Amino acid sequence: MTWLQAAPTITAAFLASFVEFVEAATIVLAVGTVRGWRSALGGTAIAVLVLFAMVLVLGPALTHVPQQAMQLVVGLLLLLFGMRWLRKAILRGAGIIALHDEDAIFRSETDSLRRAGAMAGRGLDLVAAATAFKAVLLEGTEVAFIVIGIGASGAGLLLPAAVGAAAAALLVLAIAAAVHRPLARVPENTVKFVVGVLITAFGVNWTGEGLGIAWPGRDLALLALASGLLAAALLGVRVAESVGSRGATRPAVR
Amino acid sequence: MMHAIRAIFGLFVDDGALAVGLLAWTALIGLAVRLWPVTSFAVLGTALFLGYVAILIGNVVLAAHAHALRRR
Repeated sequence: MTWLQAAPTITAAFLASFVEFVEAATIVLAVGTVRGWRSALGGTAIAVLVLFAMVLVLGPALTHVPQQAMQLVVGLLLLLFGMRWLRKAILRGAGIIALHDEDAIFRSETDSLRRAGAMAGRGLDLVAAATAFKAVLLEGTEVAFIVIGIGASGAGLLLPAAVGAAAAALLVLAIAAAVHRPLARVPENTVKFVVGVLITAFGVNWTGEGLGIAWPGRDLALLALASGLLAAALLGVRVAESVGSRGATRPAVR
Repeated sequence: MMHAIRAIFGLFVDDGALAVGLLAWTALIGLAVRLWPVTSFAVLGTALFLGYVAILIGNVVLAAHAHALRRR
């Protein structure tokens, strides 16, 4: 394995996992702040155990699937996943939909947790634990999918993908433990834009190979696909901005 | 259970038209690979990529257009 193969895998896994961990950390911080850290961390720990079990069961099962079929299925899932992020990032960049605001999510989550009734005494607060569990399980499922998806179709790529995700987890944990506030200063839309481009590039690459298309240049094709997607996405922002702003300049139709 | 299934489905499909367009284009290119195996793979690879890009741009333009109509 060369750096040319490992670098995009580590970068994509790190950035994608970073965004997911930031979203999970916001909810866990909200739960911990309002309802206590014991239940927040308890729900988080149970979700992490469930995620480990899922990966332990599903990971080895994937090795029994023929490589071309797996490339097609994983490629299509990465394509749908990446395009969903890219579409949202383009629309956010063009001002069509609102930016993701971790502070607003934190406020909304703390408000709803305060309204959710009295806390349990010394036992586990079920509302708090379930909220943390759900957030960590959902965001963690995305991370597990990203790591398996990016790492599954190339020999030896699972380790760099896992290293990227683990580095992201450690960084988010360290920042969250230090500041005890949602990580609102992370330029989340920019990161999502880049991640959308990278994951979609992986998706196009694997889908093509799954269909039987041998990309010219092999690993260099991934960089070419990512560059093409980045250019197209930036063009998409400009076009969407221009189309979306037409409503503001024309007088209202009666 | 339904909530969990919906959440996992939502990881991949946010806009149904985009997902259907991408899957349909993949199926078409897959068919082309089977029907014309002698055609240059670079051509089919380029077609696959450009088709995906066109579907994405078309989708965001439609979303922006719908947004503009709502603002009028």
